[in-house]
Amino acid sequence: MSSANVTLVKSLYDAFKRGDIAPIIAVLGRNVDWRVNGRVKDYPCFGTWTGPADVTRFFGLVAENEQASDFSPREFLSAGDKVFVTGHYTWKILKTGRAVDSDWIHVFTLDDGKVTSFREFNDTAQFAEAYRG
Amino acid sequence: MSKVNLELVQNLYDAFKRGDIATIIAALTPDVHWQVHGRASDFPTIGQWSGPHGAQEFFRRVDESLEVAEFTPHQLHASGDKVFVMGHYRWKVRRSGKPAAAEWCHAFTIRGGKVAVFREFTDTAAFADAYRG
Repeated sequence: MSSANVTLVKSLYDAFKRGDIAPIIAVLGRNVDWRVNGRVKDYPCFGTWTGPADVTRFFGLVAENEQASDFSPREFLSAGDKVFVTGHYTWKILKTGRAVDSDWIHVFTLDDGKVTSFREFNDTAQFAEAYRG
Repeated sequence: MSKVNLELVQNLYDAFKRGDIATIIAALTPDVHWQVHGRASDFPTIGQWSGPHGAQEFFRRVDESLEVAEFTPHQLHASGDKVFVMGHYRWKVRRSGKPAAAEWCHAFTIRGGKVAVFREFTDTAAFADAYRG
């Protein structure tokens, strides 16, 4: 299962980089718990989204608020039902034109080929500051 | 190895909770890379430190800047030479008296029974805010 999970997660990054959100939504569990660590008052893409329809809304917020200039997953590590991915990205925050440059870690939990939970951790202070302008 | 690595990391959290920093420092490789991801300008305990002396300086800053109210690792996950831990903590930021609470993710790399790399991802915005007062 572990290597299948890593293959699946890698395919989601490839889809995201092509701007193809549908394959991501298609592999989410019905009650997927999707969280970007941080306070929603700091940045619109921080918070919790539940279920595939809500996660579609999350990707809408991403497109509305930020533009990626670099999005680089670096390491994929499987542990039990989880896949941990470390990486780096740079964004332009569309509201202010300011840049964010951050390392991140993503944690996927999978069950029978479906993503049941996603966690992102990043340098929230940079997003908050760039959004305030 | 995974099980031994999990035990090592669990021992380090237990040591931290009893204020026993010496046990942590003794478990680091001579070239340990210790990093709390984010910008040092946002909070004194965000940044990078090298070697056991560097990590000691990190813990001195933790003690100087923060008073712990809650520190809860939720679950430890081993993958190869890595151990990932997600958890939650609450602190009082001494400078302002304000609270900072966050979910966090720790990534340890273990080499020869010692910690060679430590990375923390947290809600840096919550710390930056509480520090500004």
